[in-house]
Amino acid sequence: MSLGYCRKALRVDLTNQKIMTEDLSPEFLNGYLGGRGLNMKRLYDEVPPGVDPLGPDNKLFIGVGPLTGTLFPGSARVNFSAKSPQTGILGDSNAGGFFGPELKFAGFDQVIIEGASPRPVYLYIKNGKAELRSAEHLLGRDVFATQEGIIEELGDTRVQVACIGPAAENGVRYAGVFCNLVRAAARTGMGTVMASKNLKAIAVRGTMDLKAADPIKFMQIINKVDKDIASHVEYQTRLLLGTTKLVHALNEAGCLATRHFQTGRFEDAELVSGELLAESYKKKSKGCFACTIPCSRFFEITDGKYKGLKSEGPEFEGLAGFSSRVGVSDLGAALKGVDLCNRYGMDVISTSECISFAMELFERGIIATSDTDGLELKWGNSEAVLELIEKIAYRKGFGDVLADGVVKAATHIGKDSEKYAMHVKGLELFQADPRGLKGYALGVAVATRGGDHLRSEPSFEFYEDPEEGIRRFGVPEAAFRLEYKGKGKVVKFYEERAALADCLNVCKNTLVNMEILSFKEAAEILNAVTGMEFNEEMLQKSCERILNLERAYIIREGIRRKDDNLPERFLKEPLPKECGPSQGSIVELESMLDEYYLEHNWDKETGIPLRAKLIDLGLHEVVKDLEERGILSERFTL
Amino acid sequence: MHSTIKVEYLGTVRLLIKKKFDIYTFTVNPTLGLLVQEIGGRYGKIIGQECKKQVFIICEPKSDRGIFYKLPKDANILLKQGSVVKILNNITGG
Repeated sequence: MSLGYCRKALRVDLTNQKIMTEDLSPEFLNGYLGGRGLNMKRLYDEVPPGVDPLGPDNKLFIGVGPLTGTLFPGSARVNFSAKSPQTGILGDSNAGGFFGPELKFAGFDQVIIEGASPRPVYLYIKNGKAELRSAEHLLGRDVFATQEGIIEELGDTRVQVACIGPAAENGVRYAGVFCNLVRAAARTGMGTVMASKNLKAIAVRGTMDLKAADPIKFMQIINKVDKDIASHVEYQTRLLLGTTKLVHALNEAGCLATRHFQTGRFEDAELVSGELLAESYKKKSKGCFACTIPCSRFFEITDGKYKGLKSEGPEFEGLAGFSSRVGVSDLGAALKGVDLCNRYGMDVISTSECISFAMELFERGIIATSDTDGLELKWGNSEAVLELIEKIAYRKGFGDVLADGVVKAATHIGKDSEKYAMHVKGLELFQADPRGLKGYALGVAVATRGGDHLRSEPSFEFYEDPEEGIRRFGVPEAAFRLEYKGKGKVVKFYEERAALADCLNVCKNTLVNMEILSFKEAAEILNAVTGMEFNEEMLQKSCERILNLERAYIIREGIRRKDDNLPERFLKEPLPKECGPSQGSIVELESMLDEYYLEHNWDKETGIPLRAKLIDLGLHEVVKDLEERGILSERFTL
Repeated sequence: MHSTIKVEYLGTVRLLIKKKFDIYTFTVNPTLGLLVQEIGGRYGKIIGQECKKQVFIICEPKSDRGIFYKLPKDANILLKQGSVVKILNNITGG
């Protein structure tokens, strides 16, 4: 029986085909909470600098949190973490669905995968036990066929599967781990790491009990949270549209990634909008485990060239990635693009960046059909986009150039193409234009896993309420997306909330974007579940500890302030006139960075956390480690 | 003299009322608050309440730049004849 935590980790040594169970100490759980936190602590301690991300010394950590599998709304998430083969720094990605809760029901808070198997295998975990099984027959299968094959083989339709597709097997560096077919932990190449270990899938089945230490208090809080969600201003929108609401919304704001960020306004946004998808093809809503605001959907295309295509999703990132970003006005083609990425097991953001990058180079005459296997990479050529997705997944021809990510593609192509590569620290950027969203611009510049919006999601900057800006962050500008002041504070605040969501392994839509559950309430519910004694301050400090540990990890890998940057376009090229309220915007990053480092108590010149800060957070071993490596010198003493 | 305002529905409101736009006519230039009251009158209380949770982009005639407004703080904004008002869900993360 578990009270929040199972207090067990499963360690799988693939090289020697050994499986061990380890106890998790209260100090470890208290200090790092769950999911992302547990994984980051392991990553720092067990994967030192110099490790080849695709070698046997890299490790893959899979973690869930203390609320995973409970009735807490959206307690469905699971984190996959390792050193990233895409960026060479911190790799971490998070998926919903049902895999995370099932892992908890099977008796584990964390799984540690190390070494590399001499032959293809999949890991089967059931009720506290685990075994490695041959995956020879699954090699080459796409995500859907892999899941189907495993469920059929195990003869249990309630088995939950996290697996990789052919893209990972072929070494595409932005391949993800896919749960429940389309629930993707897609960012930073965690599927590629899994493939390097000859691990095709993890299947899990559990029937063990989860209990709350104080069930009455627990249910009282759950009831309140349910009411908070149902009465929230965004409830209907998220229910009807999910994240696809953002196509029109960002387009109207003039910051929808369009034709590779050459503008923020897509003239055909309506044709690829979430609204049109809902009106034309949506069959029903779909949610994750324990969700009370199901934001995903099943769809079926009933007309046109892609008639008959059925799937779940897409999220905004995939929808805009294969429409506005590549200039495609055909909703069916965009849905097909997302479906192909899901089946091959690739990240939609990185894939769409690599393709739109190539399209911009083509349109500018930097590359030609002689470079692209004859593909006419003109804006809106959906046939070429779909063909290129397949070429990337199988590393065929020009697809091979793009399969290592946009940075390596730019290096390969040369001709000053690096300035068109839209990434931060090697991770490709999302589908919103940072020029129209200054807080998001700062968030992606400093995110510990590279150019990523989900490490903070500072959506407060859309409030447009000066009094709220003063009340919450000390300055009215904090509440306005085109202003700079206060954004350091705003980003830090949302980084901590995002860390909380990723450690409790609950949905960020509710916990971060809708700001359901304060730190105080989070402490109360953790106490009700675990019987442990958390309080608001401890919890906030744990989140800060995790953020600083992550920062220390990437500092140890060589990241400094100069890397907390944005692509040149966002710093120098104003958004064009058609971008309406965002027209003329660029990002002036430096003042926001100064404020952000100050808020974190990090050195302004280098971005290295100050010794006093690390000590205050109890990261004594990190201090020692950074000192021994000559990174944390005397000048960082307060 | 009548004042005509085109309202374009996006996001939640569009899906709830199953309509993309309407033309509203007033005897004088209306405020944003009055317009929303009219929408509620036409489509019912629930829609009126849902509208109040949304963002309004007001594009004045001959302007290439819509301005974002929210209720209740901008209820008294006066809408000029020929303006287009887009009703859009709040922009938040995803």
